[in-house]
Amino acid sequence: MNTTHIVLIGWSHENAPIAFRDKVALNSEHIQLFLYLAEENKSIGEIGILSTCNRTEFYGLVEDPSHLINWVYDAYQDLRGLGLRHNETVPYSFQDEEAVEHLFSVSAGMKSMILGENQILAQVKDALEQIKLRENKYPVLHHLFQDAIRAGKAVRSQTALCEGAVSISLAAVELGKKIFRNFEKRKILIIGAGETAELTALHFQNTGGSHFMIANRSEHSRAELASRLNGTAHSLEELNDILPEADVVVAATGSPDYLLSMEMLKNALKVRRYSPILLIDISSPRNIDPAARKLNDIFLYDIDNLDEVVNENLIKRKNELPAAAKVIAGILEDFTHWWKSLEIFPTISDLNEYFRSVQQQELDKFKFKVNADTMDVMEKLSALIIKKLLHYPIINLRKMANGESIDIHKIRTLRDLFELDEFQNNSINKE
Amino acid sequence: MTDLFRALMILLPLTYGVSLVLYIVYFNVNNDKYRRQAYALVVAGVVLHLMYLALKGWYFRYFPITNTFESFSMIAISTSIIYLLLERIQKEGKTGLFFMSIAFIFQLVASMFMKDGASHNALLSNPMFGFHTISTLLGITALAISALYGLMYWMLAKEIKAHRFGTTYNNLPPLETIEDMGRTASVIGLVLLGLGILLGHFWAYRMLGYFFTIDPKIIVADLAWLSYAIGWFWVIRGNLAGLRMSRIAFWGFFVFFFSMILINLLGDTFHKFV
Repeated sequence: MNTTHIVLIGWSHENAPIAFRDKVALNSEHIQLFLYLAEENKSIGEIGILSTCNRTEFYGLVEDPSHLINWVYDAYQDLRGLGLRHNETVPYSFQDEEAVEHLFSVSAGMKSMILGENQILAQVKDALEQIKLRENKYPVLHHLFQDAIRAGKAVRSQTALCEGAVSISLAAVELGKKIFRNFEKRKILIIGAGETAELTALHFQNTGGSHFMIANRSEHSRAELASRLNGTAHSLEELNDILPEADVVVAATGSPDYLLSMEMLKNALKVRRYSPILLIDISSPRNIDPAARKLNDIFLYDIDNLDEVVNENLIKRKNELPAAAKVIAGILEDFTHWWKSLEIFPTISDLNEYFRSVQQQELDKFKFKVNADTMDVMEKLSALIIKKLLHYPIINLRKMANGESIDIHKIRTLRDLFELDEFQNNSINKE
Repeated sequence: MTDLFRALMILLPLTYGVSLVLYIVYFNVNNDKYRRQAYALVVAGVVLHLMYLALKGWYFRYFPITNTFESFSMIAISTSIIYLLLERIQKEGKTGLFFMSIAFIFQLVASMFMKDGASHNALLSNPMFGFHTISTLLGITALAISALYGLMYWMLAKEIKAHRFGTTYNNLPPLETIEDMGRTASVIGLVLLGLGILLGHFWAYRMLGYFFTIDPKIIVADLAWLSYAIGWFWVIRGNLAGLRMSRIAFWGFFVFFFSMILINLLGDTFHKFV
């Protein structure tokens, strides 16, 4: 009989400071070592490890939750030289349905530091791949992580939890998508060659942008970024000439002055026959004259405006949490049903075996008292009686497994009434 | 046969109505399944509608635009056809609800009050009149649709500029797509209206013996088409885009539409068949 529990212990941004999270974070090599070590431990049936930059979680199939927590402490001590047992940062721990629900929520991005982020789903997939590599295959955790990926995908497709940009540079790209159908044929002018400028350019590149013009004071920096983006490099003095070509302009420099004036933009619009320009000014102080906002076909966003976009999107994502929880509840129910059904079939088999053993014991008593024909009749009669007696209990147990709600207490009572656990243990000992 | 007409009169608003509901769902839920279903229903609606018009024309021996409600039904099918064309060309269904609501309302009113086989002008029995009417009506509808795209562009541009991220911002397609849909509608409108006007002149020549007559309605229609054509030549030659283009599309149609209404109300015209 299955008396094991799915147990989770872990640390994340919710319960541990970054310094601690950095210490307990595991790369794929570490995870391999931890998994090898776990295989040697008889008290751990199955194990799965999810480790990201903000989260390190151990999912185990154990009879006693303390087995997992003690093993995790020992493993960190042995493999990483970290004494966590007496550390103030205590891991969170969940069991069975709570642990499953937690993993599903994590996979959906509901527990992420940036609500609804997408990277976590790939990390859950990585954890599943690690499980698949184990010789024992870990059927329960395999099923659990598969369902977690299903939950992550379902939440992403059925709710808006992961929609809307939640970073300044992504918000800039999202705004661009409201003006232009795509960026494939659009010219993107990047003013500046720093980290922010490059990050925003990369986001545009990831969404199809391929025509980049890089304008920067430093010749070396602009040439380097231009070569990385496969674009052209320009000096700031050329801005007036190249501006009319640009459909999207991203300004991210440390310049204290306006690099794009109202006059320059007016002129650019005229040359472009008033085809719209999206201007993203993520510099501080600003590099684009804010008065340009008044121009009809100019769409100017500065860092505060983009911050508004990000905040609005975050609020929208938060509002999607109840819908996401509903999606997860459905998959949780499926998993729980499957998990509980694991206990039904062994019970059916144990019941059959128990009744057959009682039959055999009683028949043995008459072995030398009746002749062979009578014995044969008694065997057939008792087998028929057992079959009749077990008919409804087995039918009802199978019904439970085939979709009707599984009541684990009923199964437990049945096992207790017939002392099936004891019977099974005795059988194993005899063997 | 009249039973079939009655059945089709029930089926048509129903088909347009369900497609409208699907477009509304698609507008709010970004699932292409709804767009495909809505599109298929509009196609079905247009096929049924064409069947209805052809059968009715054949049965009663006149082009079915003899009264206000038949005109309403024609507006419904014209809107559906032009919108279908635009969705097919631009592969964009987020604006479907606006045009299918027009088609649905016009068809619903038409179905509710339509009376078959009313007396009609003998000229309406001439098949050439049908081509002239269909072409003109489709042209005007396309220009109206182009004007509505101009308005949509205007609204969305305003939202983006004002940093308002409401329903319009979230659900309308990008400005570039709206502009392209409006531009395509204008070109379709110009060609079809031009063809309709030309057919009208030929028809007048054959029936009445003159190619052109000093009739305010004809003069305004011809002038409006000419101004539209010149305007579009200017837009295309200058590669004009953005808000300016959307405003031209909107105000151009506005002026055309109200001048036609004014002429109909105030002017004395031979061009009256209803």
